[in-house]
Amino acid sequence: MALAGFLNPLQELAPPMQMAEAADGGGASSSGSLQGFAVSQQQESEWCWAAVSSSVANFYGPTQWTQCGVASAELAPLNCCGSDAGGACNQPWYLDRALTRVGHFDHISASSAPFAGVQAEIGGRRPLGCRIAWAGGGAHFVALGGWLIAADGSLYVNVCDPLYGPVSKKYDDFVSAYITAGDDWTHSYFTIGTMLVAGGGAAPNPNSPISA
Amino acid sequence: MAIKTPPGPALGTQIVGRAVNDLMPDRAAAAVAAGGAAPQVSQPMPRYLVKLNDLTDVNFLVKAVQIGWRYLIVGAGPAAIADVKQVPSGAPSFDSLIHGDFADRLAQAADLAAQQYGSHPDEFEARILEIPSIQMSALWLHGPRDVFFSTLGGQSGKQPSMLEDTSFVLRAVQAAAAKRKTTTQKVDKMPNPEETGLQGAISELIKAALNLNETARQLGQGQVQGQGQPKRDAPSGGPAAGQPGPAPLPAGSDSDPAAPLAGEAYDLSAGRDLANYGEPTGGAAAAVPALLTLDMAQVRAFLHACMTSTPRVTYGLGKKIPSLSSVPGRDFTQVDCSGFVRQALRLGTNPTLAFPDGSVVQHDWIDKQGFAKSTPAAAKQSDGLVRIAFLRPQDTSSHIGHVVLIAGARTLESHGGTGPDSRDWTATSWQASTFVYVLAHDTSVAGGDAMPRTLALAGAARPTTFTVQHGHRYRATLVLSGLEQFASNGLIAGRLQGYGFSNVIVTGSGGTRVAEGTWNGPDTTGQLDSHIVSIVEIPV
Repeated sequence: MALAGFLNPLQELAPPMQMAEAADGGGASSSGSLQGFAVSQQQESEWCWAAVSSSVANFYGPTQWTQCGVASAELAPLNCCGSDAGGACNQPWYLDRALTRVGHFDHISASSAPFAGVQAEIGGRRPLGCRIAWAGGGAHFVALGGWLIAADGSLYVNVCDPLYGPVSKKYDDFVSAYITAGDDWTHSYFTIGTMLVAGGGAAPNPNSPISA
Repeated sequence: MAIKTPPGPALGTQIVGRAVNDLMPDRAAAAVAAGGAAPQVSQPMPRYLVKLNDLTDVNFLVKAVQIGWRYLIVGAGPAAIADVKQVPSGAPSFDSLIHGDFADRLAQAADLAAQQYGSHPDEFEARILEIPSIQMSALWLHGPRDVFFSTLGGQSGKQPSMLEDTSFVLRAVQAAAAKRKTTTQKVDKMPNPEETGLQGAISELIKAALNLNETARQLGQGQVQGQGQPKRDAPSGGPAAGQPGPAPLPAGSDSDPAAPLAGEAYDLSAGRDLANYGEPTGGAAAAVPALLTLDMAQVRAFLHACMTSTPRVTYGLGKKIPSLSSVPGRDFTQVDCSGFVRQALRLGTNPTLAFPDGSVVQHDWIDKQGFAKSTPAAAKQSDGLVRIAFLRPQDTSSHIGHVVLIAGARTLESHGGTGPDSRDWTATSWQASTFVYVLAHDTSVAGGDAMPRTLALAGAARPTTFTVQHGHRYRATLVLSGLEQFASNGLIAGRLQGYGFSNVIVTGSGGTRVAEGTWNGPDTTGQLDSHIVSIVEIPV
């Protein structure tokens, strides 16, 4: 693939063996990931919650949930797959409610999860939803779909971002500096394969935040 | 080369290489095992970020802070992005590895930027601009003017075809205003009394939008093209940017209005330079208001004198008028388009406007002064405004630009084959490819015109009321003064939305703004505010 002239000259990266020898430390890396899990690109600028929730639903099993379908259900009587698409439907919303809607919300935690907690969720084949509060205002929902411990001991997470796509990032940076310093992981949304519901599902959490 | 990348951090490539080894080991190893090329990394682009609370007006770029560097990785698979972060008091370190469409889109943006600006006479620095709070990201060419190629949608999350994003700055301001409003509504759960519905007349809406002094900084130039305005480098109806340009127009035809006929150019190369770039001048121009007070009677008299002089003044490529007091037919007998318009504006202003020569230079000057952008179609209206329209050299087969004044749907210009002249403005042919700005009030118009529901506002004939009807769409030209000029378009748009207008678009900057919106309230008649110089119902 040729790149624009102003990005040249390209530099060849050293082969893995040379890099490994040059790296500090040693040992083998380890990792875990959710095979088959991906978050689709959000179809409206404020629909990170719809993208994450519908993607989680489709990971757990074949469903009819689409982004606009989740939005229509949550924002009724708006028709987000039709006449209201792109207008009133394009608004921030609550991920816990959207996950509840699709039947895969377990619980919410008003904090980040430790790396071991991420490993546990991925090991249990459960995507973990995360709310990032941008430094300077606004927020965004993503999901974690994997982890990696590099040979030098560095901890990484695989972020499934409905805006940017798949992002690999150091765990510590994801907690407090997703794009820049101060982008904080404020809430964790634990999911479950099959939600046992009674009386129409879990009640909305009055303290859950919205994001887009 | 017109696009450059500054040197990246000394260890940047090593940092990226280690991250690829850690995070993409299968890909790198597979490439080597297969005897293929190992992944390659590009030169880095500095990566900037703007926070939501710094995005309050179109000058927000000055608040962009460099947070690191972005590299593209190619070879042995799909493109990827590696970010290296930079902190003030520490060594650079790995930030992120991004796979997938976003990386492909950045590569496309870089290709397009190189096509469009790689041979530009000005120099640009390739940067990345991130505004995550409003879901916007772009390749940013920073130079004499700032150019953007969006790599994240920002409008509806949809990814349009890659084009230069001429509305990036304005969309960002509008999106930030909307985001702040939404966040405030959701968090506070308090009804905003300004959003409880229209209680008064349209003048109150506009006044509320204008009585703003959120910032004491002068607005910079707007970046957005108005609706119907052809995008730079992507003329309306032409192929998408990045594709072959429009077919050359027939030379010497009316599609190339400044192309000289026989006898109108003695030195085509020098004349073209003079027509496009004008005669050299020295000194900085004084600041001018964003809407001129132009004596159109003087301008029309000058045109008339040129057309009726003996000998008649004709077109001459690169020909200029010697002085402000030059007499047509005696002191000059030929003039090109920019020379004519320059003299017309100098004669019609008091004090004399320091308007430059050369249509390209004039275009840049008008843009930098913050005159409100308009459209070729809007210039068909007899709305009491004088507009100026520019046809760029690259949009003509002769590579000679053109400039005209427009008032009352008629041009005032000097064009090839005739010289000083006045023709119908139809917004077709070459006129459709022009860049149009609102320049002044037509002080010789007595008010009123043939267009229903269009108000030409001038002098004593200015109507005092106007009726907005439910579901109808309107375009108003606003003239601001004093602190009002500092109000951001996003803020004005937000207020208008809050009062019941939807799909609001506000363009322009400084003292002149053009606002469009659809009225969702009941039919209402109200007093027209003095800030409104024209208001027109537009088709929906």
